[in-house]
Amino acid sequence: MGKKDRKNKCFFNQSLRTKLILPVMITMAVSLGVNLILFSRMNKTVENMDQVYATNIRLGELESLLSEMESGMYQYLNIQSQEGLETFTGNRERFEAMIAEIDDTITDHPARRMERNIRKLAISYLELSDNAIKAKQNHDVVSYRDSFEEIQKIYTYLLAYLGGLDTLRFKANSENYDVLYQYLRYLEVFMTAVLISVACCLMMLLYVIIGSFTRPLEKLADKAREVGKGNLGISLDRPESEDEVGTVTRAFNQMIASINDYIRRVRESMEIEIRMKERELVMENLLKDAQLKYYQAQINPHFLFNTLNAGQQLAMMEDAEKTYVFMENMASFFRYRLRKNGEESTLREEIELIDSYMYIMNVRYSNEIRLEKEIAAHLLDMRFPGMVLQPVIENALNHGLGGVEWEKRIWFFVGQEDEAAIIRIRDNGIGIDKQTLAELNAGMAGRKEKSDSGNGVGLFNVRERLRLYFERDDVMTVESGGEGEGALVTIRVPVQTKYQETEETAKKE
Amino acid sequence: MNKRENFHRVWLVTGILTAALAAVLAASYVLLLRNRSAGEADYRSFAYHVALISDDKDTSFWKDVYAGAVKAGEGYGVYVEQIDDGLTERFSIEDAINMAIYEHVDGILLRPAEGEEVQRMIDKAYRHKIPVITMQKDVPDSKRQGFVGINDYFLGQEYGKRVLKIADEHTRLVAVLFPGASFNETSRMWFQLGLSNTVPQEQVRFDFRIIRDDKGLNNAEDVIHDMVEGNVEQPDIVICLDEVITQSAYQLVRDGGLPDKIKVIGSYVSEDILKGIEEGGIDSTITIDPEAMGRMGIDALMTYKKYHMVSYYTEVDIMLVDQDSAAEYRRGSVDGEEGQEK
Repeated sequence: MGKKDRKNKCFFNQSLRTKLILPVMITMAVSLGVNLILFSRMNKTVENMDQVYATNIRLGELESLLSEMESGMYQYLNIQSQEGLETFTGNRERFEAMIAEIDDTITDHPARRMERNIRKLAISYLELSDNAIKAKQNHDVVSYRDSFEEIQKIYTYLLAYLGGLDTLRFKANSENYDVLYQYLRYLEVFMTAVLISVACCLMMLLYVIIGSFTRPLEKLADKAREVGKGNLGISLDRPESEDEVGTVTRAFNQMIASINDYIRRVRESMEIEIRMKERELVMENLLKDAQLKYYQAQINPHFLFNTLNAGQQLAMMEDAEKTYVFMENMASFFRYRLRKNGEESTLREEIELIDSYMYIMNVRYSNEIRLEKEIAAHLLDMRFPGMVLQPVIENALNHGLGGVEWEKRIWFFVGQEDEAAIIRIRDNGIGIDKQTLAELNAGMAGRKEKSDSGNGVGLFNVRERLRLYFERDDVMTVESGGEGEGALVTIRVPVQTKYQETEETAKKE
Repeated sequence: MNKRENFHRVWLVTGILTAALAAVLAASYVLLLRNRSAGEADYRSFAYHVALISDDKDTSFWKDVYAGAVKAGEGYGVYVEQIDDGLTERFSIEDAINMAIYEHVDGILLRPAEGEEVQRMIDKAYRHKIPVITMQKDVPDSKRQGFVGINDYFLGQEYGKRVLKIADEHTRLVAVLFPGASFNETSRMWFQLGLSNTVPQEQVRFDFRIIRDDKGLNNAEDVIHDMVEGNVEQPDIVICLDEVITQSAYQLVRDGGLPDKIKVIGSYVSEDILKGIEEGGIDSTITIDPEAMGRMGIDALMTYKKYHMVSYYTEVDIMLVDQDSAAEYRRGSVDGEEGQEK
């Protein structure tokens, strides 16, 4: 079975032309072979029939030789005609040669039997004739008369046998004709039957074979029609053979797969684009919100910087060094805020802003607030959204440490845990009640905050910006031990230095 | 449709094609066989050539003799030829012997006709060193090497025995019809002697008549007609000494409605005679076994070829077929024919 399968597979993998031509050739060969066999058989049969009564002797020639010899003999013996003797001897040789050719085997073959009898009689005839001629030459009248009588008898017998053989041959020929005629009739019917059956077989074979490649083509056409209607989600069939139809089917399948893949990719990229646009929009909104708030509190920056510069100059002239430093811090604080509002920055710049801010605040609150920093230096160049940390500190000052009587302290920590940069801002203020804490952590505190604090950008805003910037949700947690226990804001973001980012971009590309 | 089904279909069609091809080959083979029956191979060759010569070779009796001789000849490598077989012309017995002589046959089996000429031809054959065995009828004065058949005296005795068996107190006259061609005077004499020695003359009288052959037709019908019609004295029993006379007698006796009055004892067994016996129109028939005669003729000839001598007289068994043994004979002859065909 395995062998057959392989053979079949081979056949089905042939090209269409081979598939069509092969069965036609095979059936043609079969019918040709059958015809050849039949005709060769018929030829053999005819040969066989010819052989049955074939005789080696040419009856007519033999008979005419015999009668000439007989008449020559008669003339010689009767009137001593030398011419007659010459006729006799002239034909004798040829006659003897013909006789010698006849087979001497005793057989029950109807024709051979007679031929042999003719041979024997002819030999006797020649012997007696020779005797008679000798007797005539010796003038032995009695002897040659007796011989002549016998010769006459043998002549009659010979003629009878020649006639009999002729009749036999005629009979055989007519019988052969009958047999041959019947054979031909039979052959006619037989050949017709063979041709019809070969034609039927050929048709069946072609039906099956043509079906084997038109059926997949029809299927393919149906699929193409479906695709034409826009239905690309059709199920694809494996090609049934390795011929041209198989190739076309495979190419069609590949095309459909490619189209589907392309559509999927387009859809994905469109989704990404939409998502990004959404994010940008939200970010923009948040920024606008923040900016609006700043604009409300904003004084003309040029006027402010000019004023601050004038203040700085005044302080220098008056040798008021502390005032000068204060002025400088103020100026850099506002410059940063104006410059980095909503833009990307680094952790270092953010910390510098915090420092300026704390300086200003300590001047304001007579060094009441202590800021303790613990910073992992390698993270300073990490990319970070601008104006994020200062609002958290501001929030801690305004809300946590606003009305406390004890020493106000803020701990600022920057460190790395695994792949994440951790920024903790803790205060020892009044803490946050549980409900507010829950709202803050769930990201609901925005509205309330908005209403509570007029100028504060607020933790909500901070969280949202971090979330959008780093594209992850768990960027910030707010903890508190309860009232009087202070609060802890933990920001956990992936470490992203400028160097690292450049590397990643390169990798992606 | 899947690939597997396609395979099956292709194989089915291929199978049909193969089967058709096989059928064609088988059919053409049969066709060839049928036409080969007359081929060269079916003929045999032989070592000896023996001529079988008889006047009445068309009778079924002689055909059986020929069949017996042919069958026996196969064992010796002898081809037995009815000498003018296949010729359109018919030759006399003398010419046939002459032909056989000039064909240089190895021997002649002859059922001689009456006359000196036959004897002369037998002697001529002897001069040409061709042995001659006479069958059924003898030519005792010729130089024939032997005779196979039955002595007319014994034959007369056999008929006598049957006459005694069927004769009753009313039996007065027995007519004996000799075919003139095969019973010459000597034969008739010996037959009469055998017959009358068996049947006491004081009880039954014999009426001997000779049926003359005249250009192929005989006067048996006239003779029997006279007997049946009572133009001459009506016999109680008719002994017919050949096949044709037996059939004529049976025909006329039956047509005359006299099977009970005239009993026919015939010669030889043919299909018609056998039917006559079964129907009761013929009482019985006495015959020599023709096949045995043919066989014994060949045996005698080959014995002569081997030892250059053979017994002058070989007796062939005589058998009597009556109503009781007719069925058995029929069965035996059918078996024999089947055997021959095989």
